Amino acid sequence: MSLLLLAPLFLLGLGTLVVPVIVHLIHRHKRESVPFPSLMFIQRIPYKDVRRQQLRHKLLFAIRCLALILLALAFARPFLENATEATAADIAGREVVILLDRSHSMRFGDRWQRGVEQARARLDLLGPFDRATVVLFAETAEVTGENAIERAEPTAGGTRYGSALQLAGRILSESEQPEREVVLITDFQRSGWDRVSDVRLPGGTIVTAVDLSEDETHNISLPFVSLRQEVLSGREWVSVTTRVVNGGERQVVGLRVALVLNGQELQSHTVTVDPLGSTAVTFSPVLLPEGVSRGAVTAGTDALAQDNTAVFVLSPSNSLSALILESSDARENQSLFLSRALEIGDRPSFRVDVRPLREFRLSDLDGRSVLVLNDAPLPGGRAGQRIREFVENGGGLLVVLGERNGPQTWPANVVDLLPGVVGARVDLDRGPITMSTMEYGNPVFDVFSAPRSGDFSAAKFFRYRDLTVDDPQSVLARYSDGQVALAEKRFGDGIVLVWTSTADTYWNDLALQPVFLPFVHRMMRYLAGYEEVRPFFIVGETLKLTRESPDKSIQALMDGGGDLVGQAPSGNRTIVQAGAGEQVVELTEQGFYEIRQVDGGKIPPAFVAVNIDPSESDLAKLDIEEFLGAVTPMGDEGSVGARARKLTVEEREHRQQLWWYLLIAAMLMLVAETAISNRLSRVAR
Amino acid sequence: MFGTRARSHATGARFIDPNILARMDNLELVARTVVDGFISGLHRSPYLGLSIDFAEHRPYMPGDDIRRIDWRVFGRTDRFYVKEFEADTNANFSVVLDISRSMDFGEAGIRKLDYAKFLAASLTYLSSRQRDRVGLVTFDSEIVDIVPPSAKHLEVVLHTLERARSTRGGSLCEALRKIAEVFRRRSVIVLISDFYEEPSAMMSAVNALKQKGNDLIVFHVLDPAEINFTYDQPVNFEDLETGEQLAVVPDALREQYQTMLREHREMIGRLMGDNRVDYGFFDTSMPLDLALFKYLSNRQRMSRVR
Repeated sequence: MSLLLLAPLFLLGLGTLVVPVIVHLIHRHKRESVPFPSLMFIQRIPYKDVRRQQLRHKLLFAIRCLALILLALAFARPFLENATEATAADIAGREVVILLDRSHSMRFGDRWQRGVEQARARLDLLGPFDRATVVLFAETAEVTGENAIERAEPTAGGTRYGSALQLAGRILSESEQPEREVVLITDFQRSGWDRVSDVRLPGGTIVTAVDLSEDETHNISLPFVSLRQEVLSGREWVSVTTRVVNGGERQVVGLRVALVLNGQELQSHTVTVDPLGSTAVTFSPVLLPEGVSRGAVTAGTDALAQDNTAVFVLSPSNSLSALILESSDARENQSLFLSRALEIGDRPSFRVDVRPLREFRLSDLDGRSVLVLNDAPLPGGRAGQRIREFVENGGGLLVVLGERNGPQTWPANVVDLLPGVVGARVDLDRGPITMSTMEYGNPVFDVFSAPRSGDFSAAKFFRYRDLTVDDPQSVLARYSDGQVALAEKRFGDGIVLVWTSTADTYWNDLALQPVFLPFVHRMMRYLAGYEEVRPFFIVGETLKLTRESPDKSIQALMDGGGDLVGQAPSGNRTIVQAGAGEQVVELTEQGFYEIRQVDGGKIPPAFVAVNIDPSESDLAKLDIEEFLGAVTPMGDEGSVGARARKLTVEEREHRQQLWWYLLIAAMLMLVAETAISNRLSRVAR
Repeated sequence: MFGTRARSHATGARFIDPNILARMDNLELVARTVVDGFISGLHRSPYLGLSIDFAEHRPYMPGDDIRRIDWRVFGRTDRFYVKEFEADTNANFSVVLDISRSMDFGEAGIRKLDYAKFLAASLTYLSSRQRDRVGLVTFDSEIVDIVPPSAKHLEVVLHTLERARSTRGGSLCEALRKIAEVFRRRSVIVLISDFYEEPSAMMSAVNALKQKGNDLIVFHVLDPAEINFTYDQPVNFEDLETGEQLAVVPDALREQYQTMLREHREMIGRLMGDNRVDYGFFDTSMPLDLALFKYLSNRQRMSRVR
């Protein structure tokens, strides 16, 4: 902290200090003459001239000098320059919102400690009329008490400036204080700012940026872990691949990257990572243990150690079972393309059985996820009823229309499963048509929504069967002539899809196109209601606990009844009431969450791996000027001037107004001088 | 009438502030104001002549010599009357007034010269009422004005006093020796000065005045600032006589100055007493009538002793 002067030239006024000196010393030799009748006696008195040079009233002299010094200082308009800026001399009321970043990146080095110190310093400098609100933010922002700053800890969450600024804006807009200021204490991580966000603070708001970032950072992170499970020789193997990122500007040599499974280190590699570069590390396939396994990949340690570890959960793959029924007189290889497409793939894998309709048994649907009627009519009677119940209970039904399931082939007791009325065959004699309209919002087609993500227009359709839908909203795809290509209907808990052309090359050549395989897979996953079991989550996400969870261990816990407890890596526990429907556990920490029965029942616990948001490992800094310009109001000169968080010296001086106190002190000195000099004069007389 | 500063006194007389007298232009009026209030009855004039010409009767006042009571009148009227006679016009009364620059000083509101003028006027007026011949000599280093003693010179004396101004430095001893040559007849001489001279040297000049049987009365007039040396701030003192300047820190020498001045006054008083010269000291802050009253009372006592 140092003392600066707004108008240092006024210090020249200190030259007036010679005035009392002149009064006391020099002026006496130049005083006016006083007539006196005769000096005959005075001349006889031995006189020591030294008395002229002595100060008679040193206290008076000191007071006069001090008063002049104070006056000169007051006019020089002094103010205190603090390293943290801002000041305790604010006498005008301010609404100050202190935004303190506590995202994961604040764990880097001593950033958090410095941030807390800065926040405390700002609070200590508040004037008596100021009002302050402390907001801690990461993914979300929350108001906290001033005294809670020291007790707070950085979280594992990512940085989201938008939420913090929105909260600050709301506080400031509701304030009646004449001045408003936002103090943003953060490392200005580039990943925390979404440029699309349109967050602007109220007009007149001064934004003070306190930058905690370092000029040079060194950080190793594992933002990516890929798990590939394969079944070889009847046993399931898993291959783990990770990417090691060096965020620093120095090359990292001899970095040891290790794979740990269920607490045991299985493999390790030593790698070299170039500055601001990355390298992939692939571990050899390892045999997947039975049950749920907890794994991790570690890569040394540094100032931000948490992102040097990536955790995951491995569980045996879930396979879907599909039954394809075809008519007794089916064409040769009528279901070949379907079955072959389903046999490819492991996330999920499919078990496919192809069977003539006449051999269909009611028990064939047990354990099945999807039933496919490939150019075969729906059976009536008990078989039809069974299929109806299958769909009602959540099963998926794919009806592929063709030569053999025309309008007359649908029994009355199951015809309501269809989304519409099946009509006649349409022969496109004037030439083939294509699929032109897809409902990309539907899970079947959402993967094809991006450019170059699947070209359905390459497939040619020569025939199709007319389908008159009850609800136009049920149409998921249309041909180029506007007729229905794919329609859906929800029936009970299940879904029915009707594809109006064949699934082989008899009426079209879609089966020969590259999109056929993903198209079939997406339809089957949609019909089966399949969700992939995620090997890990990201901090900030939520874990849904439902009976429909793709994680079978969670399913088992939910089915088992009784309350559950979700235990975070830190040991914090969350009670989940099993009977209260869908429950949510917020994943706020890095590591493994354990979900288990409260009463310690026999059902094995479920584990959920949670990793740091990869964006938090990117410590790159955003352009503060640009950022502040984006959040301050347009055309707000006051805020623009303060963007660099350098309040002008005039503003700082105006806030402190030390000159006022100096002037009061000077006045007091002068009053004291008057009183003392009067008293001395009276005594002298 | 003059807004006087009243003080109680045994005689009940009222004393008049010299500052107020200074506002009056007419010295005769000043003199009458000073004298009329108390002088009647107190005064058994030492200057009575040998005249036996009856002038008038007046009521007896305490203090009058009972030998002067006209018993015949008492027998007829049963009241005491004193016989007044024509004054002895053989007696000369002259004031010798120092008008040097040192007299042109006054910190108390009235200058010493003015105070001395009032004093001279009052005494001249008093003497004139007693039928003395009155005269005046003013001097500094030389004789400035001379009004020879005469029974008709009251107004001339007062006029001369009025226009007397301090213009030069003074030399008391030299001037007195010259003045001594002026008085050829026995006179009552009142010398008024601030006596900034060496007492011993001064006495030789004063004795010159006493020759020829002159009755000499010396009035020493000083301003309170001279007496008490009440200056506070360091100043340059300028000698009114010589123009010499001297830087002075009053606090440093006040005590010594006061001591020296007191010794100077005592020396003058003692020397005057030794030479049978009446000596009176006047502080210009003292009411003029009170000062005269004190002096005349003292002189009366001394005359009885003598």
